Amino acid sequence: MKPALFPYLITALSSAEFTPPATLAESLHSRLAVHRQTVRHALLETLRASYPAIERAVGSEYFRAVAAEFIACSPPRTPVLQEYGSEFPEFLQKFPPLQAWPWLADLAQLDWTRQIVTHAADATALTPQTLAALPEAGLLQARLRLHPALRWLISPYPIDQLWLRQDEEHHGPELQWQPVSLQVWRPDAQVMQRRLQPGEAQLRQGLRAGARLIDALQSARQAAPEFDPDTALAALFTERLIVGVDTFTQRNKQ
Amino acid sequence: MSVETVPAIGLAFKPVHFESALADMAAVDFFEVHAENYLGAGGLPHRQLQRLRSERPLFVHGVGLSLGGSERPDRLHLQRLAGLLARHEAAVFSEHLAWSSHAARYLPDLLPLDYDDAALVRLCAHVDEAQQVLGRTLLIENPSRYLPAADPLAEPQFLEALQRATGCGLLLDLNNVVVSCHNQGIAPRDYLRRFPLQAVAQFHLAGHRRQSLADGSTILIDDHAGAIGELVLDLYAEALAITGPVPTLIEWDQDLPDWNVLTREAERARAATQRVRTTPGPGAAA
Repeated sequence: MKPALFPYLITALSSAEFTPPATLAESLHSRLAVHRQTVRHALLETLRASYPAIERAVGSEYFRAVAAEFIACSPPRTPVLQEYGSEFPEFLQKFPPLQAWPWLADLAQLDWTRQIVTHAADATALTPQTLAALPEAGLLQARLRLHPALRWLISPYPIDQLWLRQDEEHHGPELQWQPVSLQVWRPDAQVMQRRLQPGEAQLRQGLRAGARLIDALQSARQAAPEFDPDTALAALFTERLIVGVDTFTQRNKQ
Repeated sequence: MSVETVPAIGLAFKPVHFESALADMAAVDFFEVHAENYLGAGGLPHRQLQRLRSERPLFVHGVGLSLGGSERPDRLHLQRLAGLLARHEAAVFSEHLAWSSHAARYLPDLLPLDYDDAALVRLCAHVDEAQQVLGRTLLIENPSRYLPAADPLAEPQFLEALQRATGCGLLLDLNNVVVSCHNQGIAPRDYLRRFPLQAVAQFHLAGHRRQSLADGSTILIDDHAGAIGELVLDLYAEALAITGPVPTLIEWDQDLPDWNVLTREAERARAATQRVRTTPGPGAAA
């Protein structure tokens, strides 16, 4: 095949429908179909691996159909397939046939967040003993570095309960339709997720933005009056979310 | 010529086999993984690789560099590959005589190119660049082909010219030889006779399936979903008689069986290496 045909083939092999040119011999068409099948199979399997909760929610047959539409709209730009599909949540949100299920896009975002956390960098977390050893005043003025394999997200829908449902027949926990704030993290090999208490997301947001602990705690308290700083701080260490404490004595002196 | 020693036999590693592989790797001399599955920053994939690497040499097989494309290999991708190879001290890095990217779009497949002078010039430049960035010699693999060939140069000739110009090594996939030759009406032993076997640094063995087309013809599909075909093993034994003991990998990428089925395939390949003691290869006839 000559390079002049490459752009044509890229489109022909990833589009949802493919009408071969009338001039194309039948035997050639069916041989091109082998490549087309390889491409579609690989991309479908990639999306299935990255969006397991969406496949459980809509069923595999529907998933296959919606994935084909997505693949045609957003073909991959990278050969690293585990990074393919980040736009799928947004696609689901806008996909007209799914407008009656607005929570699907948020559920997909949870799947994608888990995918990111799965492959994020490793780091060694500080132990609760490290926390105990730090003088309190110094700690409050310090900047705590969060684990690279930590993400959080909020949703108006109970996406954690939806994530646990096993199939489109809704087997699984009884849903309570309320907003959730979720943390997804991987302290070791296994990806974990849990609901955050009011203020905990703001605390993480502050820390990731580089705020001093005291300021991050304060903004958490402002966001949620019931925020308990001691419990929240202890959780950061017991959940192995802190990988460094930068005290700024040196910088203050300068 | 007879084979002095049995070649190293490796298996393509899949995460689902991690525990079984650790428990029983007597039949496995090395592991091979697809590079693009290990370009994340961290997590379980790298831990498993590190663990395997502590037991056996690691071969890394790229599927996304698109060396046969009309554009230069992606610099960022090359750098990520370099990082992976260094991180896990990969013994070997191989890629394909194929293209998969064009104008910032990627297809997860190995697409054919015409073997002509323009393609050769392009390939040489891309292989040179990749070898320079990766700081090592690449092995280039013959692809499986499905479309009718319109090549001025035969594939063995093309690979020989590429090898001479760039100093790369060759990875001869004997399953791809059987598949491509069937699909393009070439006799596999003619292909082998023309192939620069002295430059082969690794073999791949795998399974394929047969599919009927609407026009009544059949094609072979390189699906890596079953046992190695007998013809593939015969050709392997014949090629090995000329190359001497060259590391040999068994690929099984879909419909994954239990680990012990894979180790049995490794033993089948090992047994096939003994056929050359009794069967004259094409080298003996030449």
